[in-house]
Amino acid sequence: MAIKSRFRKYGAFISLAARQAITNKTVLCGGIFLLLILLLTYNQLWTVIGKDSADPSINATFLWYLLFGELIILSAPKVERILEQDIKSGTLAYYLNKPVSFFMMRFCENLSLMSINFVSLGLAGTLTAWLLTPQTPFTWLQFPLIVSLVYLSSLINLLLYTAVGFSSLWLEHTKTLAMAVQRLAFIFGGAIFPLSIYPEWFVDIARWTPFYSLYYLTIKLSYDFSAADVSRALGLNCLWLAFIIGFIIWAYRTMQKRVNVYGG
Amino acid sequence: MHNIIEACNLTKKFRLKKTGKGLKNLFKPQYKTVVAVNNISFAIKPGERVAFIGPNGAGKSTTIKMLSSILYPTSGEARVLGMIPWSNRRRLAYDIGTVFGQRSQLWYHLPVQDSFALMGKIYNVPEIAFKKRLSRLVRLFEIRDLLNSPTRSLSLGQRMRCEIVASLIHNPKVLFLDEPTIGLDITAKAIIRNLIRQQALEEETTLLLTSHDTDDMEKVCDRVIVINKGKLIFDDSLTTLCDSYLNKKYLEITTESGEKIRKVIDTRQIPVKKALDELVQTYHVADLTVENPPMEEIIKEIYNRGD
Repeated sequence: MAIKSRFRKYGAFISLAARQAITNKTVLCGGIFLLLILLLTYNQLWTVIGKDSADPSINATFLWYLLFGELIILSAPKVERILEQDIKSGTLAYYLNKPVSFFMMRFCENLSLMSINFVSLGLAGTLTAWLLTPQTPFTWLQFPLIVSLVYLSSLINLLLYTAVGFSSLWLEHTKTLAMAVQRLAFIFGGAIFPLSIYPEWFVDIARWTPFYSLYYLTIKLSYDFSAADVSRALGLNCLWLAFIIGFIIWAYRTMQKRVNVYGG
Repeated sequence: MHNIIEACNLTKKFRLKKTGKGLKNLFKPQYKTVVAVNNISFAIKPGERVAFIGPNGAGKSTTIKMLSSILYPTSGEARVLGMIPWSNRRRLAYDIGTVFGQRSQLWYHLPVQDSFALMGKIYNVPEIAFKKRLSRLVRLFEIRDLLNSPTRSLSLGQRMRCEIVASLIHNPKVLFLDEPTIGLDITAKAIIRNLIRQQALEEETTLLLTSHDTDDMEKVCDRVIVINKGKLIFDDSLTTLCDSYLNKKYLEITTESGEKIRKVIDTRQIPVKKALDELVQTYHVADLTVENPPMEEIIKEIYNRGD
């Protein structure tokens, strides 16, 4: 009964946030527009480079790689800003006397937004990439598994930014930290260019960051699919997921204690 | 009859960082303690409609936050429906409702009825009971035409009506209202006051309403607690307060020539109607307002008599 009631409560947050996201079409269309611009621009770039390359499939490889990388980045709503606002304005305190967990409530809302973004960007991006490069670097049988792993990465990315949002307990602004995380994702995760083009010593450093499995290992499957890499990406991502969730639980409890004492 | 709300020597102190310059302040910050609520005690019986009034910064909201389980007190005890609020948040949540005038619990882009449905689910209200309850509240608060409107398109007065409905969906025994009329125009204020009173009377909901507007207490409540600088300075019936301290009315007229004339009348000596008749006969009145004395004056009067 308690579990059913929880599903009903948090399911309502998921469905309401989805409806709000669909109602707010400007944001949704803006994201799709940005992704299409990126795909068209990079397609142009890799077509030019591909002409002089020994590998004629370079364009398809990098375009699909870019699409999956951008899906992880662009799907995440600005959760860190929402949480910072909640903490700074005291909104969090006003939810303490409601029979819901504030963290679960915000998580469900953002998970819903992320999923809507993921599906809409994924559909538009897949169609565009397929029209531009019909020769995909993966088989369509591998596609559902790759997409599932990319979705898992998007979920971890969302939680990572949730952790950034909770850091506003100690930091004046989370904007700088969020920007740093995004840059690190580009550098150590190879979100735009695969890490295989970087020197080995750099890849060795990247391996110790969550971005390595979150982006590179996962999206590399789009052009270099193997069962071993699937299990490696899954295992490492689950490890980072546990670590990030651990941090969030600790930060959320610390925050609740502070709110108890100082209020809204 | 048992008390539904009890507060005993309730105190809340906040430790605030002093703003200062230089490295010393960075490594060794200075703090000051602010006493927001200072040792207050009172008890409220079921069905009572209590106004918790005082000027800005008096400690009204802090008290309501402690009683509605948002804040821990620094010391003292409190019980709401027999439960210690801050230790029984989840259990108590199902029996209390809260409306904070400056916070919204409605979803900005969605029709208000979606927010009501969400409230029903949050409070585990069964589907049939929810429909019945919502239908009653919609009728009482006259919001049928607003149900399909997104929150963003509502006026402040309309939004406040919907906020109150949202907080009543689960049929709470106690309703905490923190400045429910703040920012509203005179007409909207009158409507909200009337609706709050009507609902409380019909459903015997216990009300605790904070405001710095004396009209809120006059129109809604039957008992008044006055708080100033964290201390309780008056706790009695509305009749007592009106007889003792609200016997002055401020009349202001604007004549047709644009001149403004103010008069303070003692209602024990001259009824308002008579005073108004005299003014209308003496001047060519273009506009006229009748107001209660400001909160600061009532508090000053309470202190003076206490001395």
